[in-house]
Amino acid sequence: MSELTDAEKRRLLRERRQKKFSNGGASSRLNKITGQVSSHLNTESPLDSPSVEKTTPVESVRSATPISGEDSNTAPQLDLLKQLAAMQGQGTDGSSSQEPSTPDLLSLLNSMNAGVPSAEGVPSLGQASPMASINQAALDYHDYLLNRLKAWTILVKWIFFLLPYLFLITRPNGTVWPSYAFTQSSWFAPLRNPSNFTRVFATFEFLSISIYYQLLKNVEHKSKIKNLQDTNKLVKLISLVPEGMIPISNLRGKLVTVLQYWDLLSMLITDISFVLIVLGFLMYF
Amino acid sequence: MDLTVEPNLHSLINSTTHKWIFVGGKGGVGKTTSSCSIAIQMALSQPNKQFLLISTDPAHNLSDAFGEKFGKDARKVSGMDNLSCMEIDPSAALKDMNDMAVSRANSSGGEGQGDDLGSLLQGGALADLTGSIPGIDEALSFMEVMKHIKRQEQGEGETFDTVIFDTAPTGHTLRFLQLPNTLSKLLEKFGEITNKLGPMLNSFMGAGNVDISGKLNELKANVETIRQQFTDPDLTTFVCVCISEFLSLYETERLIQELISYDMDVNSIIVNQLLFAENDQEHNCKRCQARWKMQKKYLDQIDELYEDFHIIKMPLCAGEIRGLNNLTKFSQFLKKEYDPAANGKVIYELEDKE
Repeated sequence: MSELTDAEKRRLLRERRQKKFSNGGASSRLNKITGQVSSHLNTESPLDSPSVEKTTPVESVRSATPISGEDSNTAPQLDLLKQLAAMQGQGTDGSSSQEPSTPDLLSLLNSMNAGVPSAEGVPSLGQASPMASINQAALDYHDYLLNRLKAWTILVKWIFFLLPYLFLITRPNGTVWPSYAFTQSSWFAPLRNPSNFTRVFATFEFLSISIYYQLLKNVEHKSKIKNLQDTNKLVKLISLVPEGMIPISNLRGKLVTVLQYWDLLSMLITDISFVLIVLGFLMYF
Repeated sequence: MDLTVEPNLHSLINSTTHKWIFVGGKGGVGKTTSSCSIAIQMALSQPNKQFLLISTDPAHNLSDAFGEKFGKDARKVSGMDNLSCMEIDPSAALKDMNDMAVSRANSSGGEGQGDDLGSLLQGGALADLTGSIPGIDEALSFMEVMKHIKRQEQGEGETFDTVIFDTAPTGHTLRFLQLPNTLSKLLEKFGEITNKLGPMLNSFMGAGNVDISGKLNELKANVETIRQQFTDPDLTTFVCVCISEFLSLYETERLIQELISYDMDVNSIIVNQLLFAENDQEHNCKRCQARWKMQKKYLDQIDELYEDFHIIKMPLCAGEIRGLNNLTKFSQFLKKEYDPAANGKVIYELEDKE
């Protein structure tokens, strides 16, 4: 995935808009508006009536989104299930219709696939997953922005700070440094003292990680996708576990926090590894 | 490029693909001012293209907005080479239809039957009869769209690259936008009947040489073309207009939901009549401050509910926004968002049209 074109951006935004009005979102939006002033105006949405649900907007959105790989994979399976359901109907009483109160397997699977509640009122499993409401193309775009940010952060950190700094503490008397750097009164002086390494490195890591997280917020704002919360497979899996099944409250939130700390730790470990390797080279040559 | 949405209509104003732009909302929120502003900005940004602004509101305001009389035929706005306006007048259109029916009845032969029909229609009976049908305004607006498409297909007369609709308040507009779907279904049903009864009907109508099924098929194809164009987001979009108040916000939300249920693209909301009173210390007025506080409460809700929409915040001006000059001044804030600190003076600079 690369930078979005105008048309792609318009399409993504359109799909995002439509999805906000699906899954019962339309009525809850009206409820939100009327709730603020305790109004008694009607909050039933034209989008939440079953007749409309069948044609718009989720199905139209899905049909307009061939990017997702899962669609092409599941389509033959759904066709097969459709045939099986038809055969099942013919086998029992010769007609394919079923009782309206009984949700059939196909509609349940369809609703899970689309992330909408089935017409019969059975809550779909797709609803439990936050991933269902996020478009694959938007996720790809988020990944692209995130990877670009990571690459730039590493480049700037390593090339423009860590390398010169390590060079400075291992080659304090080199000719490449300006003469004022070696006067005792210079602000530069404490930097070249190897005994200050831990303090300087910790300060640098603190600053760089703070800047990284600030930039990450910008990326989240741009792509409108929360990193880890919406992208991590483990979080996605945990969110499928119904609340109360495991005796830990807000398991998903806790997992996101742990993953964030792990992310931070892994950045620190990567930088320490880089420092050790570079120091090894500098000491050797 | 990112997924943030600009708080202006820059992309729509410079769009080269849009053929139909609808501007609508609750009554009294500034639909006509907004539609005129969009039309002017588009015409100024794309001088090589022709734009048509049609009012489908039975209570027309376009003439008043521009300060010159427009009728049922497209007429250029004085001072602009590429912007025309027209007001669909149901009574005049129905009178034309009545006159056509009279002349046809009179020319159908010297038989007594033709004379009777002619004398019946002479007093405008057809116009009176059809004029009282609910939704006739919307039907006539729809006919205008069909005429426009036909003209473009055949390359006849003056053609327009983009048509901007200054629509009637929400209810009328939704009926108008529902027409392609309703007509499509109706014609399908009617087609089934005529297929069964076609030969019989044709033998009844044989004297007039009217091919009913042929006409129906042609109408159906036209309606289907319009339906497809209206649901294509590259060709058609709807711009909602509202003010920062509860009822307007509620109606805007309902309008957007209806439009989505018709598969129509809607991505922009113009919020009119904002006071921006916190930057107006020199005219500090308690009532303005209180009202601005109320407006801000709904603005926050609008920002939250419509984060993926273009939200254009337009100021309440000191004078009436009438006449091409005033409209042009006001419309600049559609292209580049209004900044109370930098553009505050403009709202006092409107010319008096008295």
